[in-house]
Amino acid sequence: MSMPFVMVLAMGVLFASGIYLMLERSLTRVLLGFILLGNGVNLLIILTAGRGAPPLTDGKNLSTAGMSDPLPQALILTAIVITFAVTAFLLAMIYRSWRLMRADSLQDDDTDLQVAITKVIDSEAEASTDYDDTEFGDEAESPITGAVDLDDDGTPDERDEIAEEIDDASTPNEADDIAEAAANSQTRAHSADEAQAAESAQEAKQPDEESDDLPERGDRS
Amino acid sequence: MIDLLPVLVPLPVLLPLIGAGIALILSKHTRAQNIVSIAILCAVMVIATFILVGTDAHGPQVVAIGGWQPPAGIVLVADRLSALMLIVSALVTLCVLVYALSQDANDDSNETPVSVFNPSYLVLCAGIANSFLAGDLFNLYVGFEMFLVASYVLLTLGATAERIRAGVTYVIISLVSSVIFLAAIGIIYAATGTVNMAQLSERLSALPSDVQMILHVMLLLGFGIKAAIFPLSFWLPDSYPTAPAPVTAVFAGLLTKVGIYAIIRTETLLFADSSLRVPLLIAAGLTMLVGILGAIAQSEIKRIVSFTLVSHIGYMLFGVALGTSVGLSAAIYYTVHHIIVQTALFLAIGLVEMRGGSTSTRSLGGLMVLSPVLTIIFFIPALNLSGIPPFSGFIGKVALFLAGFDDRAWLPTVLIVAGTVTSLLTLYVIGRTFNLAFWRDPADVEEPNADLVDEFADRKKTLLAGRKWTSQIGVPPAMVVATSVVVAASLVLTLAAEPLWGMADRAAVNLQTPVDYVTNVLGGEDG
Repeated sequence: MSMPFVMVLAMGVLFASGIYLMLERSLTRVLLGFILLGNGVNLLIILTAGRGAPPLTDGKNLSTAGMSDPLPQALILTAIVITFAVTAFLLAMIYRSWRLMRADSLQDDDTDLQVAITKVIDSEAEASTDYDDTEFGDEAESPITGAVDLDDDGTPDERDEIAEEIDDASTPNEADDIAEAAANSQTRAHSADEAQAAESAQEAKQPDEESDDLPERGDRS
Repeated sequence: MIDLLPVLVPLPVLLPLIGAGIALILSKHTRAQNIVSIAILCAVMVIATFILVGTDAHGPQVVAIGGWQPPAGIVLVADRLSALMLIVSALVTLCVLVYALSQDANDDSNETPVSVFNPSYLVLCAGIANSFLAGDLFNLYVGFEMFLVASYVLLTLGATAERIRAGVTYVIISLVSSVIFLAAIGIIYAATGTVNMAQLSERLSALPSDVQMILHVMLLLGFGIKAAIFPLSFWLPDSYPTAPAPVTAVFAGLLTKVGIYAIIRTETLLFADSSLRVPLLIAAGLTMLVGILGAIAQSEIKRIVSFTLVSHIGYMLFGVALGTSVGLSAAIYYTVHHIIVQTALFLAIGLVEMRGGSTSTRSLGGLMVLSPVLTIIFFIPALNLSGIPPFSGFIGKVALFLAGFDDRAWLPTVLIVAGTVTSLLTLYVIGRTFNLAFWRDPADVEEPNADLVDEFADRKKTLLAGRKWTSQIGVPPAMVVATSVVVAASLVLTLAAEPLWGMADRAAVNLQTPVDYVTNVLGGEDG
């Protein structure tokens, strides 16, 4: 069983580029990375069969000499089908994520951020959750440049306006909360600075909870 | 009875798959679908009991699928460990199904479409059973993929923004683990010319030690991601808490344990003279400590319990990494205990969420007064998890620590200390959660829930007046019953500790002598 060097090289390239793409934050690239990686593994399995004649006999001469091993071919069929099905599911999920989040990148976990924020009550900490390291910037419009904007609720600016309106609408409740939080933290905190920080943290959290349907990216910009 | 056994072995895989098909056809008739699903899982439960009794009495059962004899054909092997895992998973999946269906029946929000839930859930059960019974590595991979794909669907049920966010992480991480596993299978086949586990057991040890090491590490990486072992565990607390409560319960109870099961097989059957004991022990210690420290930082009950889940995986890995017979039996006992307790806890949290409208300790309070039954249902598995004496968690931990002392080396001793610290910290986390969510006056919490506050005041008033008080917000009785059954099962683990321990011990002895497994699979004609 000898492996042709070119095939091994191709497998190596598939693995390397697949892993590279999977490390990206953009979901479409992760999908492409997974496809490459899956094909790399399939190639690896088929290479274990070695080169040889097709595993078929004419019914009389039952010698297996010179045939390639049929088992990896059976294994790879299963693996290909599984990879195919999972790719389809992943694609559907990425599309759904795009529809909901308006971003083709992995989203941060709000609860995680909340835990981080409550530990460091600091308006700076809140601002730092805003980062986005994809090349599309904060308003990743579409994975394909020039694609039709699927937004039902308008441009990012319009969405901001809606978010602000919601803020205004909830002011009575919110004002109470903020006042209470500020009063509480004033009793605990020694400086007015900390109270201020608590207030802004409270404020920053409110819109997130109330505008579930709204694009989060829009809120943050 | 002996003749019947080989017929029974494939059924835990086959029946749920057939059931999934029927459930899909019946997707318009919710009631019929539910009846089919429950009937199928009841049948699986009965069959698993027979398999357990049969394998315990007559030794491992080997079934060659389609009559193709091993090593060419696919084999299903049921030995004591598989059978024990099968019956526990059958019990847990059945209770969770009842819980889920009664939740759906009482849920108007229609967030979980039942027509998709039932078939995916049955495929999940089939995949788990297939993984436990797989006699060759590729079939194990297929089993993994079956339950993983079903779990992708279940985790993203309803496709809300939050679930999709969590689902993306989960799916991608699982895919990476599957790819690593599949690549390992490819290389193992290239090196040995077989994927049959019994044959591998003979042939892998003949390979050069560096090749063995690569294959061993690749398999452990693949399984380690699934089992959520420390450096590979970060995905779990991120993705589990967003799913519907019953889904989280069955994932937390079973999916990670399938990873542990695969690691047990790798360590005992494939690489019996393992050279990775020390790294595994270190990983076990770190899993315990890092997991529980994560739990302390959280304020959401679901996330707290997800972190303790990661932490307690460390105990099982500890037992496996010791590699001794006592260590293995302790690990098996602990796995059984942990499946049941973790599921019970997540089901109870689902009830808490239904009752209190949230799972955040920042807005819950007064549940002890409002719902005493729920308090008991939560409190028993919670204490059990942290290892308070009468419960099975204590027995499992003591067994693990004794196995560690038997080893008379410094590393296991360090792990015993880490295990004790973890156990105490679990008690601290659980105690804090209980204080905040159950004991506090709901008016004192950070983000008061108006309904809870009103109800609490109302309840206090009526109690003072000496009248009987019933809540407006009822929890469906079927859900309470399903949860209580799992809680009761966790108590049975204490009462029946001796037979269960004996079973785990015999399973561990089997695992210690892989030669028997090999002769059973390759030499036996009775299959």
